[in-house]
Amino acid sequence: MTENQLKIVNKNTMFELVGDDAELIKRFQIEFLQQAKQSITKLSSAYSESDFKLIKEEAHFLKTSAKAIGAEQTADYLQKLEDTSILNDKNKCKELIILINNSIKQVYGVIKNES
Amino acid sequence: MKCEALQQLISIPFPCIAVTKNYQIIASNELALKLLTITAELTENNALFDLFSPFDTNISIEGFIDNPQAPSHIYLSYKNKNTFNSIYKASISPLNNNYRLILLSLEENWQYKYQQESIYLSRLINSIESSNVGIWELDIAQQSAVFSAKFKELLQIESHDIYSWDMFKKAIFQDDLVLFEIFLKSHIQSKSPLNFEFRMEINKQTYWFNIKGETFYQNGEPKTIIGTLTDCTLNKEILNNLNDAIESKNITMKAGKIGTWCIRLINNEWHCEWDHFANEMFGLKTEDIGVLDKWVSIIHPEDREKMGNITRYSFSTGEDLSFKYRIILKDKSIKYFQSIGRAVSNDLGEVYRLDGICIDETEIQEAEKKLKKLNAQLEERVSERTAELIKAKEHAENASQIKSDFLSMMSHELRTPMNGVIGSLDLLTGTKQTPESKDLIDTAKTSAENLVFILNDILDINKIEAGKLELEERVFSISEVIDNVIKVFIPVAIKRDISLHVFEDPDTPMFITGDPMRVRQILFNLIGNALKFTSSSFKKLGEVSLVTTIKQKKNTSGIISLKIIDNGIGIDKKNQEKLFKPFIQAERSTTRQYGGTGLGLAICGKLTEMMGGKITLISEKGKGSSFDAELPFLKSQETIAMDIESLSNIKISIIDCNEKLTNKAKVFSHYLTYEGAHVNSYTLSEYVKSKDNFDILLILLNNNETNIQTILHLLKEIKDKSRITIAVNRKSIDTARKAFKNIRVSCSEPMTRIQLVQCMQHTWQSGFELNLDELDLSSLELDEDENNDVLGLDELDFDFDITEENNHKKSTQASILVVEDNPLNQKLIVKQLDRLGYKCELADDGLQGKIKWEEGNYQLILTDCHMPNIDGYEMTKQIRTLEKSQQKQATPIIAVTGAAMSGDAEYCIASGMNDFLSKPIQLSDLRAMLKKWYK
Repeated sequence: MTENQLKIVNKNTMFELVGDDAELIKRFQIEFLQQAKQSITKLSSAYSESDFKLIKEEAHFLKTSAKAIGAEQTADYLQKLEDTSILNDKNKCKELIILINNSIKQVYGVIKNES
Repeated sequence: MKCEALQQLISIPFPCIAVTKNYQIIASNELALKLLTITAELTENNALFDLFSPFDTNISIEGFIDNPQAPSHIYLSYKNKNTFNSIYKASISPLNNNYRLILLSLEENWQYKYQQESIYLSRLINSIESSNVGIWELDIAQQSAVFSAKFKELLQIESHDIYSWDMFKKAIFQDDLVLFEIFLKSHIQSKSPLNFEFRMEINKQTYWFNIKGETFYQNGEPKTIIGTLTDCTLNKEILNNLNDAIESKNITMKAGKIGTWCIRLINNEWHCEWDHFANEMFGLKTEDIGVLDKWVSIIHPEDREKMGNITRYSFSTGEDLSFKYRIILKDKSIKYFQSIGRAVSNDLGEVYRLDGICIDETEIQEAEKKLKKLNAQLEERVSERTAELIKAKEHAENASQIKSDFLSMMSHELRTPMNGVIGSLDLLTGTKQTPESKDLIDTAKTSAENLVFILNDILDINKIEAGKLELEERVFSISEVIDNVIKVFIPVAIKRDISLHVFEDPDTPMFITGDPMRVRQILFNLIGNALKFTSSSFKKLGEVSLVTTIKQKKNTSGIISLKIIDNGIGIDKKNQEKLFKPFIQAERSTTRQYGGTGLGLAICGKLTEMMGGKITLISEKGKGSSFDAELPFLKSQETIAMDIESLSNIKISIIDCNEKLTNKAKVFSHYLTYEGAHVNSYTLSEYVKSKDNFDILLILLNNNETNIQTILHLLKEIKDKSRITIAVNRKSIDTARKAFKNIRVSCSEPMTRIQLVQCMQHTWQSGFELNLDELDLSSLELDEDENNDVLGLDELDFDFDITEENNHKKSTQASILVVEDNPLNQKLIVKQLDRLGYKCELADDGLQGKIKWEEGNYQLILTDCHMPNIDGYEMTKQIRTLEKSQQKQATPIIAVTGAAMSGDAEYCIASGMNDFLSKPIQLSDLRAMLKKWYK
């Protein structure tokens, strides 16, 4: 799948995982956003300290949640951050963290609009 | 007839031959045969001309007999080879009618002799000429001379040139010519041999010649002088050198009072000789030279045996000898000698002679005696004086100690209450006060702080003078010390409107070993003084500069010069020397006008001295001062290791807004290069053309409005402005900050090396800084607030939380263990399992998972791989080990991982897991997996 084809929130994903329980899906989405909020703070802190190992672990952690709720774009950025952190490329890491942050905002926007 | 003729011949007492008219020999008498050394048989039957031929070839021999015209005799040459050159005079007279009588007499061959003599003479001349001897002949009466070719050659005259006696004489040195004339005259008159040496200058070189001659007389009168001339320049030089050497040796020997001696062992008897110098020193007569007994008799009786033993030992062993002995002179006075000798061996290795010198050491001995006496006297005086001085020193030290103790105690005792005063004033400044009160409090605080500084100085100088101050030896950064001091003085310089500059040698090592506190103290005092005694006016801007230079840099040590230059009041020559003495300022008026205790420079001087350095001052009254503290420093492996590049491989572009690159840009470039940065420096116009890439852009801005506009235009093209720093002088800093918003602006004057490097590091780091405002997700309204339920959470009526209660309830029947650290994933898998009709128990990480496995009895384990504490792989390994040791049946373990890398599945299997699921788990996949593994 190309970057452009990735969806901010792919509704089918959750549907395939837990069925058509809309409320349950929303709960999972909110749980993800709460997790993301904490993860961004942790990523920022790890970045300031140039702790690339921690960046990798946190990106991996959030990535599985993002995949679960179908936040494909966010999951993709998180995968990239995981890969970049191995290379200790701080500049690229910064760029990806900002992109992840923005994509989370977009996920929020999508969920908000559905409410 | 023939017999008759023979009879007649016998009676003649002269050698004669009888011949016929046809010259046939008839007979010869015994005397003729003897003269011709021939037998009678040989003469007979021979014609006369068979034996003889006429000597004069012009004469016809045939017409000789019975010819009245013929001469009375002719000369005949005898043909016998043995007597080839014999000439005989033949006189013919009639013997009878038939026979004629030829009377023979032997004549000498003059012509032959003459020829032979000519040959001999020629050989002689050649021999003489070849032996570099010139020949001359002088006609005394005519004063004309003939010279041989060699003679002319010796005088470097061509052989065909005309050369006269006068010319010869003129060439002789004037001094020598006078003597030559006298010698020549004397030679002619007294018939003594002429033998004279003279000098001539030939081709600007002086030559020595020897002229010899012999006068020939004729009728008793001197006729000619014949003689020789030889070049004796070389001989003369050798002789002169030899004379010089001999003279020099004699002078030296005499001056050194040295004589020579020689002992020979002949037939087991010693034969001794010594030169006249030695003889003179021994006080003996000339005839005593070589008389051993005479010499032995004057040796001090105590030294005789020793000398004999040493000499014998040297003869027997061949070793050199050296001994000292005394000689008793006739006047009973004693002379001291030292003899040094060397043994000489023959071909058989037997010592047969000793040669050596004897040195008169009487004067030395006497001088030593006097010196010993003098030393003894001096030692006595020194002892007395030392005792006095020790006493005086003890008094002085006691007094000094009392003074120091008093000052230390007073300073310490004063400092304690002063801290209380300062602390109280600090607290007061925090309270609400009227402006007048604030002023008064500030003044009181400043005065109190100054008093503490003075007290500290007094304590320091006392410690130094008492030798109690010890320097620290630790690693520190000289640049940090400079930075620290400069930061303190920047406000002072601003307040006094003085321009403060710093130039640090880019070669200064970052870390050295020494005492940073005391280096700081030196800098603090010197810069503080410079600022104190410098001021600005309308005519002149006050300037103070700190210039550091590495004067010597070796692997493990070096010398750094800290030079503080000001254009302040200056100090006259007279007062410069006393400046470094405690409590002394240049003039009393200085103390009144500028204050201070005069301790600062004294402390600086002492500290510098203690560090092994020196402090120098160049100053002129009214023009300013320059204090130069040269401090040695050490570098160790530790300091070298600490000297790391803090800007390694960062590309920095410096833009200097001046027309040409200023010294500041160059120095900054040096500093940054030293830190490992790749630096390119440009003028503004150069950069506008090149627009080179950079990691950091440092712009050295001046106050030119056009430049500001150009830079503003340039910056529009640069996206990431966080990597730009603008450095500007303090007066223009506000203007720059207004013009360049969101760009780092720093003060460039003074900017220490540390400040510059830190500024560049901050600029570099700021490029990586995350703007927290940008990342702030607090705007996401996720709280279940009734008033702000953006996401419609109220509508969710199920309990999403997998509480302990819920978990516990299910755990009673749980046969699946889920090990997962992500709460969202936990909830997801619980829901999925629930939908498939399975109950599970949760563990938050591998450690908890292993514990639960030990406690429970699970049919299946679903585990995440990446978790804190113990990850899924390690947990599996441990469970498998336990199963083996406890001989338990293996529980199927399925990996549930978000990693989608190839090789992950293999690694899971290798760790002991049974199967592999990717996150998020599709329900269908989960169902299939459970079907496969859940028994």
